[in-house]
Amino acid sequence: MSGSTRVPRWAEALLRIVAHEDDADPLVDELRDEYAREISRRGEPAARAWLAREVVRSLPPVLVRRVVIAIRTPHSRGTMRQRFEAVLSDVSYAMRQLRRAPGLTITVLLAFALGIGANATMFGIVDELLFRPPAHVRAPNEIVTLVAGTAQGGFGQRTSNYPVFAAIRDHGSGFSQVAAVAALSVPFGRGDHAANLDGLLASASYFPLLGVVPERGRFFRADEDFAPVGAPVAVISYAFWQRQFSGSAGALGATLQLGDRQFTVIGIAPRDFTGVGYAAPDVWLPISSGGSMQFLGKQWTTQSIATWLRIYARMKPGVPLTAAATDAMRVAREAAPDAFFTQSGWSFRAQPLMTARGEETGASATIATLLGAMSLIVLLIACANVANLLLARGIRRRREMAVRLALGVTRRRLVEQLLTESVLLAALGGVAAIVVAHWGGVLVRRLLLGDLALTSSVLDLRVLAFTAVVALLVGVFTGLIPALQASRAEVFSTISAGGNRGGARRTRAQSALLAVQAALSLVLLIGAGLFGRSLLAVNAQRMGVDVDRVFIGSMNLRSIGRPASEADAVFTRALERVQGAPGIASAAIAATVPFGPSFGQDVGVMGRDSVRHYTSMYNVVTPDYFRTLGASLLRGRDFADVDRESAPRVVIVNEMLARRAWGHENALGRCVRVGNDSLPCATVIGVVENVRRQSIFEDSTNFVYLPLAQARSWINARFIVARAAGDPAIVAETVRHAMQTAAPQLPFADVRLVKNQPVVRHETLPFRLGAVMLGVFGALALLLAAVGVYGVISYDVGQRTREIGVRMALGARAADVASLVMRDGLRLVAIGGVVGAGIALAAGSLVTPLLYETSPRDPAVLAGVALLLLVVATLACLVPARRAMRVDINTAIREE
Amino acid sequence: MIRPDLGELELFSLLAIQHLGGEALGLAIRDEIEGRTGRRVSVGSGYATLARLADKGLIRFTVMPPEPRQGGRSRRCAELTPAGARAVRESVSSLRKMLGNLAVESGP
Repeated sequence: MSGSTRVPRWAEALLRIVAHEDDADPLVDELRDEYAREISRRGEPAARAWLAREVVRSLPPVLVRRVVIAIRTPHSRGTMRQRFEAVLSDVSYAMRQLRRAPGLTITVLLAFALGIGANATMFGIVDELLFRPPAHVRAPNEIVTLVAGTAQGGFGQRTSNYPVFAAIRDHGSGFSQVAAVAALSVPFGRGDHAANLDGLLASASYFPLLGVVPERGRFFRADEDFAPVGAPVAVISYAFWQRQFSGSAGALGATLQLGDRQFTVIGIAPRDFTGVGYAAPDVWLPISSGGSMQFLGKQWTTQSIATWLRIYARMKPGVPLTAAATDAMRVAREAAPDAFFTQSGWSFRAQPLMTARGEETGASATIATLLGAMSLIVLLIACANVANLLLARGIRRRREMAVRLALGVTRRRLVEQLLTESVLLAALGGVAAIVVAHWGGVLVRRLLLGDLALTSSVLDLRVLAFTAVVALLVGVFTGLIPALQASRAEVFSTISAGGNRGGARRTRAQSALLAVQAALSLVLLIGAGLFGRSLLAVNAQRMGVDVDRVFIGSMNLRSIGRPASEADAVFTRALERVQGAPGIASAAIAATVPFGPSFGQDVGVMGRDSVRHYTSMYNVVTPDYFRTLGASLLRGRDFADVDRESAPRVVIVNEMLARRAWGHENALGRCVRVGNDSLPCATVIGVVENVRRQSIFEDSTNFVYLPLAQARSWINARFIVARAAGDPAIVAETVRHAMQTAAPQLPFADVRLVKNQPVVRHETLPFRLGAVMLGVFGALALLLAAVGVYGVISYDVGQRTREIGVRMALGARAADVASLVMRDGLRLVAIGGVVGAGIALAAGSLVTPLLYETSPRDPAVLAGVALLLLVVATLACLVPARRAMRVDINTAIREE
Repeated sequence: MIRPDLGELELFSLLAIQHLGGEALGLAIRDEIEGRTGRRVSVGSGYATLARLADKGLIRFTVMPPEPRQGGRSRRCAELTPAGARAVRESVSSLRKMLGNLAVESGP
């Protein structure tokens, strides 16, 4: 056992920091002995691996030991005060140090602000989506929602109907309170000033179940929510109160024209109250008062086929979830034996409110969690960056440290002081991070999570606590390496080296930290590239509808009590106005639209001696519908004005149906029967490309189109589709106004681009979120890494001034010196880049499910990102290289 | 009975010291435990265990003279105190009594 073997310094240092002063020496001695033995037994590389494991295993018991000693050791008052004073003096010393180097301080604060801020932002969003209980709700963990499902098909049926709700409310035995809600869009006002409000139909039991207290007024009474027609009373949200009534007390008792009735405002919900969801609606109405606004019409209390109400319940204490759910299904079966979800094999699951909320956010929450992990990488880069800056400064301060050690200051005190500095920096950075988190949160919510319409405040106590903890950890983490390095100063050699440089080349730790930054930024950039390519792939696919230029306009005439028969007159007038409006290329009327509701029919294809049947979706449209969408007519002609009610019956089929029915033969002129077989057969006059129906990712289905003039009564609903010639943003309002004023007293006309339809937004959200946020994080990481490269290389050039001077004196040209510096910096970045690419390739399979038609090993992305990293690194090295070129030989050599 | 203030690793350490002749270095104690039970105790937890035993007055440390060569360091050696020896005796005898004639299968 040779006593001359040394344990690697990091291991010794780590043990010395964690262990109590008296324990450190014997511990290190013992570790040294065993390490020496391991080397002789298994060789140095294996021994090093053993050592790492041994040190990690040893830290917990040693730390426990230290804590035990600390607790046992009695402190007299004097020493407590002394300790406090020591901390105070450390802080003020640290403040002086920071003020002395304002450039460094500002750079570090910026890195911390961005790194911690990005994390606080993402924490706030993930917390809100998954963990934070809804505001103003009493004991939210007692609240469940009923989800129906089967063992094979899974549990996803979240809506129910009125008979089932009423039965569970009145006869269910496991719940203390039961409530039901349904979201709906409420037409507000008429004519040009009409609007749509976000409404929620709620049973009278809803507010008492949540245990919420009104800001003003009161909530619904049971006798106001009475089937079939309840009282016209409304509770409005705090935000709507501010917006519509400027927060005046006169709001209570005011009347609102909602749908076809006048409602009286009886209460105002408290600020930040969002109910069971993430966003507060504008207005709550009793279920029974929603009447004509629901799609079910008059049968809403009795029909049990369709589902539309979500049921929430508060558990009775002591009742297990499963027992309550089983009992609820028993009651539901009696009340609605014909509903599909009460058939045998179906059961209810009582899902706790918090879990249910998390599941419903779906992809957003997954992406937000992924982004949370990504923001952690940004923080790591920021930490590496700061650690590097502090290391550089520590090396500059080596002499100061050596002198203080020589004067009898213990190394432990030095470490404490240096740690105080980095924690102070992190604390200041944390304060700046809160500002970043506030604006970051506002931006992310507005730009990317707009669909969730989160209404609660961005910063709350939890986000602040998170920020504080992260700042503290980051402060200790970044300060540790530099503090250890500085405290290791060799007293004698440093002081005797003389001069005011006490300088040295950059250390291995600095180089490693630099490579780490390059590696991590590469990982983030590759991620951004992959999501970006997915987004391009999603946008580039042929959908049969031009999502960026086509508007869909809808108007709910039934909600204001107008008969369906009136719709065609109103929509024809609206179409004329839209067609004549400036900036419109073309427009048409359709009974349904891409990403709207679907209607199916049987299509009979006449063969030579038989009829083949196909199930097909169908739509009823006016001429120009396909041109307006941007769907190309592959063969034949479009509908025209000649295809009148009395004219021969015609249809247009899509490519899919044409291929299924006639293969490669010509479909034009063929005869098909749509729907009931007694109808005369219609001639196929055109074949149009497949148009998306429900989802941008779907497989195409059979589709047949009928001219509106020949099929008015097939579907009641009407939409206007319009194609913008000019700037879509300006055209939207033109279309809306033209529709809105087609007749007096019309309800709100909802006009939006296809790409802003809820389905499309929802389906592209993961890619938009991923591409934008990873792009921002990647850019942030790249910026931090560039600053890191610049800082370290230029520091290095400063330290090597003399060496460079000597080289030049010996005949090196400026270009040689520059390439020396450049090579040095780029080598580190290249090493980091290779490591980062390795990580990205290895982690590729993790993101594969989130990508669209993009390989996680996409060569174009890898090459592009590598090139970007190289260019940025080159730019970062250029400045120090130029400085190296301009070193003056005489001054450099004379300096020492 | 096994003294309630005595953990398993503590008892093992005391027994290991006895096996080693009443006084031993930390590394030797951990080797002894591994040789007999197959369990490798880390430097940190072995050290913490000895420190606890010393706190309880069951062992004491003596400082051995430095190795007679350049850079040789002095070592701490753990030694049973009379209280420690008594603790071992009591624990072992109560374990024997508890076992009695019981045939407890011992592992391979």
